[in-house]
Amino acid sequence: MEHQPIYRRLLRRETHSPRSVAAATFAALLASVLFVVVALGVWAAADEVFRDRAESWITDTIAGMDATASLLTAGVLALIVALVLILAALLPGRRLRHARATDRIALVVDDGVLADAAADAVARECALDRSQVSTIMARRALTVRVTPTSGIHVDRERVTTVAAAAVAGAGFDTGASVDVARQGVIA
Amino acid sequence: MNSTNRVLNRAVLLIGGIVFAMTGAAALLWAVRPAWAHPVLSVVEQYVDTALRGSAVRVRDTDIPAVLIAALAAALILAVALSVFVFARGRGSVHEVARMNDVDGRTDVDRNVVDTVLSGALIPRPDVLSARTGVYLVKGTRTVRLAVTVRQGASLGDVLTAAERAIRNWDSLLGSETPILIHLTDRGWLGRYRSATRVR
Repeated sequence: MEHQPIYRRLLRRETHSPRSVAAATFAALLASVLFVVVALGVWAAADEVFRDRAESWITDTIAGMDATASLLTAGVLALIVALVLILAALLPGRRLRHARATDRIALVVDDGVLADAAADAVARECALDRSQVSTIMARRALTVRVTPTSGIHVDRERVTTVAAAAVAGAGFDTGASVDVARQGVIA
Repeated sequence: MNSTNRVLNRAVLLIGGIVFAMTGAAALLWAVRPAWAHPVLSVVEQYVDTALRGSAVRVRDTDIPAVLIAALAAALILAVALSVFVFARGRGSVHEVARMNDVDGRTDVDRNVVDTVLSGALIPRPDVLSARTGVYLVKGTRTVRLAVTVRQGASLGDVLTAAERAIRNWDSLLGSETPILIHLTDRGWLGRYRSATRVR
């Protein structure tokens, strides 16, 4: 019980994206650009030849461009980058994981593991090939799609019970919605 | 599980986004030059002009506007701050899983010990592909993360029961309860090529 504040913090952090990769990539790119700008600026201040050459190069480049069109393009690109950055900053960034804490441990399970466990259990129980069962574990519900072997009946109730039990093995209580394909396959 | 400051991550992204949005909007305004923006644009242009003609610093017989030098200095400071930010990500991992102070001295328990007890109990199981541990400081407390990748077809309940049994052994070995996070992880894209049974 004494660890519950730690577990609450851990589970919140483990189920949300840290945004470290996005922030570090952005910061590293921006820092590189700024370092290059500073270096070029200092070089231009110290070296007259370089400054003259840079000035004429810049003048030529600007003269060769359509000012309005390039400003428009730059503006639109900057706005797109801004949108991506602001969305990354504000969206919750939930990871596809289920989490819970007991008195002793905190538990985090990737949704893919729960889906696999349910699909494996259903395939074993109904004597189906694993490729005939597909599952999707969403935040609140488990969806199971079963393609029966031609001529062999699949009991929807049993599939529901087995799939829910497999997920309950990890301690998560989600109902399962089962979808049995009308057309069977030869297996 | 690291102690990266996530609010700071989002703050950097948000501030960067706002700066980019303002730059983009300014560029569009300059390109389109709508009638209502003319007074604002002319004021800005005038301001930039005076700033560039303002006080200058003489470097090797050339006058360089003080504004440009200030801008370069600001860019350098920002670049250094961003580099510090990048290298400050991902801290919080520690080497000792427990540290016991006594009148006679201190006993440190290395993280390899908890790895042997927890991972060592799970790795030999046929339904476990891999198990590894890490120790992190969370709210000032040493916390163990036990990441387990299960083989296809494993019963999650069985794996968790085995993990909890190993944790009870660890508790009795250490004499106190370390906070522990168990993470059952995806196999990744290579996982689908692994066999469902273990061959020895």
